[in-house]
Order: sequence, then C-alpha cells, then structure tokens
Amino acid sequence: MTLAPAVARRGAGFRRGAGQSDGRVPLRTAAGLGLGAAVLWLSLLVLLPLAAVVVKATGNGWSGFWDALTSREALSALRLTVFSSIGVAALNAIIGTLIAWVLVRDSFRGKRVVEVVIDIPFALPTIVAGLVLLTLYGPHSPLGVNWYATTRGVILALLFVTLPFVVRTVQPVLIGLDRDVEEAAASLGASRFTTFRRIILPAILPAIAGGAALAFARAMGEYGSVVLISGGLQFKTEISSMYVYSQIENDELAAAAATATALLVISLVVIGLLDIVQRWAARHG
Amino acid sequence: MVSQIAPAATTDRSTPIDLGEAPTQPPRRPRRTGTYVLRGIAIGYVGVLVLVPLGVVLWRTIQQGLGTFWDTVSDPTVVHAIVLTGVVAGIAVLLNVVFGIEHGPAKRPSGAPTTAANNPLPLGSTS
Repeated sequence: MTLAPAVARRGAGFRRGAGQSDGRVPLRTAAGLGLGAAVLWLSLLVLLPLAAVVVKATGNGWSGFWDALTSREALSALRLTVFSSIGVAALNAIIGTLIAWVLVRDSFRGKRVVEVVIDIPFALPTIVAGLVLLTLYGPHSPLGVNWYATTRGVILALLFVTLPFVVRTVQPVLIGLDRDVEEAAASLGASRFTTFRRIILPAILPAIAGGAALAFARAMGEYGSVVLISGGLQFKTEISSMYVYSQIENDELAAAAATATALLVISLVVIGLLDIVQRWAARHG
Repeated sequence: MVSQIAPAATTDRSTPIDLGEAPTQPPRRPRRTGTYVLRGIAIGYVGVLVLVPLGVVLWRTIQQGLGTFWDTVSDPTVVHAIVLTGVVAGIAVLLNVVFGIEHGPAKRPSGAPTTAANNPLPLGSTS
C-alpha cells in the first residue's frame, strides 16, 4: 500500500506531468462504510484463512511445527523453492528491464506482437502453461531436449509465469522519464552507459525491485505450471507447493500447514523488505 | 542453472516474430549495434519462452485434426468443466469489481507508475 506514494514522490521532479499530491481527506459516512466493507471482505477472504493455516500448523505445539517444517523432504522442497525463486527474480530483474527498455525505446515491426506475448503468461491458466512447456521441453520434445523432472524445467516454468512482472512495472516508469535529462547528460559528455547508470537506473530501480519482488512472490507459490514438468521427485524437483499438496493427500494436514506457514512468513518478509527498499529508494538515488 | 537458459535465448534470432530489421519510422539518431543486440535478446527470450512453446501446442492440436479436437472438447465432462470455469470466473470478477474498486486503477494518481500497490495485474492470477 505504501509503495505507490513513495514511488510517485520520488519521481515527481523528474517525470512529466508532475504535481499530483496525495493529501488526506477525512472520511465521509459512505466512505467509512466502504472502508468497513473492504476490511470485512479482506478479512473473510484473506486474513481468516491465513490465520486458520497458522493455527493448524501450530496445533501440535511449537516442536511439532518445527519437526514438520524441518523434515528432510520439507526442507529440501523449501530450499529448492526459495533458491529457484531468488534466481528467477534476479534473472527477471535483468531481462525484464531489458525487454521493457526495448519496448519503450526501440521501434520495429512486430513490436505489438511482443507486447501481446508478454501478457500471455498472465492470461494463460498455469496448468496450460505447464502443458505448453512440457510439450516443447518434455519427454516428447521436438527439440530433442528433455527437461522433465529437472531443476532446469522447474526454473523454466517459473520464468514463464513471472515474465510479465518486471516488464509491466518498469515499462510505465520508463515511458514517464523525461528525455531532456538524458540529453543534458549526453551533452555534458556522459556515455550512453554512464547516462543509463547514473540517470535512468536510479529512476527505475524502485520499479525493478517491485517487479522482482512480485516475481519472487509468484514463484514461491507457483503450482500449476511447475507440477507437470517438475515430475515431483522427492529431494530433487519437488517444490514446496507440491510438497504441501502431497502432504494433504497423505492426510498430514499439520505438516502441510507448517510448510504453508513458512511460505507465508517468507512472503511477508519479502513484502516488508520490498517496502523498505522502496522507501530507501524514495529518499536516496 | 539460470545461465543455462539465457544464452540460448540471446542467440536465437530466427524466431517467427522477428520480422526483419527495417525500422518503421526514422530514428532521431542513427541506430547502433547495441540497439539491435538488445532487440534480439528481447525477441529471442520472449520467443523461446512463450511463443515457440505455444506454437508447438497449437500445431500439435491442428495436426491431430479438427475432428479429434472437437470430439475432445465437446465431451460432456470437458464442457461442464469449461462452463464451470467460466461461471466461477464471472462471479469472481463481479465481486472483485464491487469490492476491489477502491484500490483499482481508477484512483491511481495520473502520473504514478504501476507498482505492487496499484498494479492491476494480480499476484497469482490462476495458480
């Protein structure tokens, strides 16, 4: 919630059409009712189920929770999930920024096609995405590569579903950048790279961080696109969401809830860190 | 692990969407090699990751004949699943329009970039 104003303030002097302010207005009755309804909606839909999971996870006491969380299989799945998500987020930060740059600053025939293709992973049901990837990179691949049940396949699926995040967060910021500042830098003798590093990058860094964090959060919880190509080999390609599913199938609800709680905590930490980064970027840069 | 994917993407410029080098409008300054390299990476990455796999699935569907495709899709189980998906999605959209309007794009400050807070694209759309 705090991201938007921070980014807006940070860019205010640099971006065209600056001058929006987010002054606070006291709530009217209708607005108060609206807020109440929104909070109730959020509680029933999000907060209550999350609380139920945490309660379930700690049902066997703290030691039960810890044992379930640190069982070899759970830990292995969690490790794969976290590390592949970090890698995917990092790669997305780079390639997503690059794609956003090309879409904003370059012009070529077929650019509109790329624009549309970027959003396909959002629109596509994730199980379809999984099937699509399995078709091309699975056992019956026409390319002759078989990434079924490999970490590579898992990462590929995660890259597929997280493609739009950084692109779509960086793109509007790049569009809003004032080109005059870059031209001024160039006229003062800055190379293109220096201009990018000193002028453009600081302006788009909060957006990159935001997009990467979204990609990370999505990768952490991804199931549908990964489940087919991963093969779900224990200790090898099983990610946490699949582990949770298998535990529920085995009627090990507490173990499933423990890993679910761990994923929840990691997501909250990422959101918190993202907020800190954005605030920092709003002050510095 | 990640780096094993990237190089393949960078070199692939023969994907179907790369429709030639000619710029559609005159640039303000002459293009440099860097521009083409970046463009190639972007198109190659998107192509290898999304477009080519989608194309293969479509091709396989067409290859087995439209009759087979239709027989599969018109199976009562499949029809019911599709209808259910549509109805549930419709209800969810309706409710989200009602309850989610407060933080929707409508209230976004005009110049503000899309961020996690006002991003209309949800975190886990279909997972």
